[in-house]
Amino acid sequence: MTSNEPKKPAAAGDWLMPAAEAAARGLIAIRRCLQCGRNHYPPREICPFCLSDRLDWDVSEAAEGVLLAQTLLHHTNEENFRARIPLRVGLIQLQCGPTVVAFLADGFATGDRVTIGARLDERGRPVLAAISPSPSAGTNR
Amino acid sequence: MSQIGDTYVPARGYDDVVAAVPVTVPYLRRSEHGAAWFLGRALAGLAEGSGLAKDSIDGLTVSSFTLHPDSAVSFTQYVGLSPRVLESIPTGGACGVIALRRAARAVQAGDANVVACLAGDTAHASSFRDLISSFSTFARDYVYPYGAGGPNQSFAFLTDHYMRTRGATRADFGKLCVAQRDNARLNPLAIFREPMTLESYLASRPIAEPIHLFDCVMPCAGADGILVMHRWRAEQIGLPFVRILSTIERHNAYPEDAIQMRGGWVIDRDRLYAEAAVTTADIDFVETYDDYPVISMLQFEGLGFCAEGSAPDFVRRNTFTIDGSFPHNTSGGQLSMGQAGAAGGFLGLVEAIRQLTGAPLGAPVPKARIGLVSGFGMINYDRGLCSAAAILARV
Repeated sequence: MTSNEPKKPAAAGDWLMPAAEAAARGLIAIRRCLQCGRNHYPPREICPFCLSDRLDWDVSEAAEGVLLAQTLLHHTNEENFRARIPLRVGLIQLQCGPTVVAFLADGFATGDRVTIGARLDERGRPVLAAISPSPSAGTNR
Repeated sequence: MSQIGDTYVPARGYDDVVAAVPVTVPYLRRSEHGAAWFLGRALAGLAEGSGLAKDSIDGLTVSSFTLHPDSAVSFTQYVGLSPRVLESIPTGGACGVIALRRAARAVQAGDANVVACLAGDTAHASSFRDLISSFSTFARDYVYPYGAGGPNQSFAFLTDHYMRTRGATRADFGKLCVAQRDNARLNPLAIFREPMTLESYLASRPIAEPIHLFDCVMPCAGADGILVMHRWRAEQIGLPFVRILSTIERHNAYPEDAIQMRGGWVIDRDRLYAEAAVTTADIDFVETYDDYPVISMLQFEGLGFCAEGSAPDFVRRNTFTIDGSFPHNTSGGQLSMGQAGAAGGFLGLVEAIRQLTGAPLGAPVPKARIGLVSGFGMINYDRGLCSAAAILARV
């Protein structure tokens, strides 16, 4: 695949395809329960709050959150990450509730507000990344 | 909807069910053997150590990550055992205490006479990567694609958060690591026995900041096992044994916490001490699950040795060597012995039984009468899900 071709989602379980298709369009999809209304992540077929199986996706361009913790990886177990080490990764609590793991740029401080977007990685998996610090970055350090 | 569980119903005690014959198949950095070899050697060690014929073992628990695609069931055929109780215990770092619980209840109920509890794994060039890249769907699809850091990465988040909110420093973590290495000095089975200084700890290279090399356990191959049976049977065949005063386990505790700051011990510790009729002051040594020093600190807090968030101060006020004020991980722990997969969940258990029967691998804890073994297992997404603990007593 050349870099000019649009990335296609890797084959996934059918019920997960909407998240991959959203990521292929640069959109983030977060699971929401139609019964209790709560969001969760990682996505499930059963709501972990009320056990309903009536679930849908909230699809949007970005999700807001707060950086809870971060790490700078100096070691990876996969060849395809070797060239990108050291690599910064964060744990972010989204405003809508759940906590996500996402790629992070340098310069975020724990407690910063961050905006999270989605894309497909080189293997066609949806991944999340902090797009940029939001304008109010720097509060609550 | 109604909720139950608010009323405290004490668990039945373990009567005269005892644990005996701690066995370790020496850990190796790499092995060409399969997991079944390690488990099988541990089973042979239990038969040899007890003098019991293999067929006298009528209960079996198996914990292993690398036995797949084989299972506890296929392992019975592999080693020619015909147990009437069989448990597969997939709780990683909590599997030792949980195997002990399952086995003790089976013996107590008369479902089995002698239960062999086994945990073991092999390690070859790609086995660790194979394990962590497909540990669970959440780990595989929602953590691993972010740099393939494995457990170091998830524990780095917890460590970062703990340091920031609780004021722990790398020197606090280092103090625990240095003490454990000192405890390993006389343990012939420890992979790492050379002294570690705080300076060398602090100078170790970063792996997943704030985690550095000497915070991490060395993945390796090996196995551990114990036997659980009635006291009269152990006495009849002349085996040293320990009493099981009380045990707890909990899974997916506090899912509402945005990041893990505590484990399930917090929910169940009152029960643990009440049912054993002891307090923290009665505990002579503690074996925590030490895959990273921050997790030992969560166990000190969760098990009530210090208040929530105060483990850094507790570490500064105590010493953790065998002859210290708080003897901890007395065989050197996983940080010195290595992490042989699921056997890591047994390491503290076999050491506690050894200490309480007067046969430690290394040095004995002076006058040890009561030991506490704690387990912590299975970092599935952003946190370890299984917690367990047992209080054991010298006879």
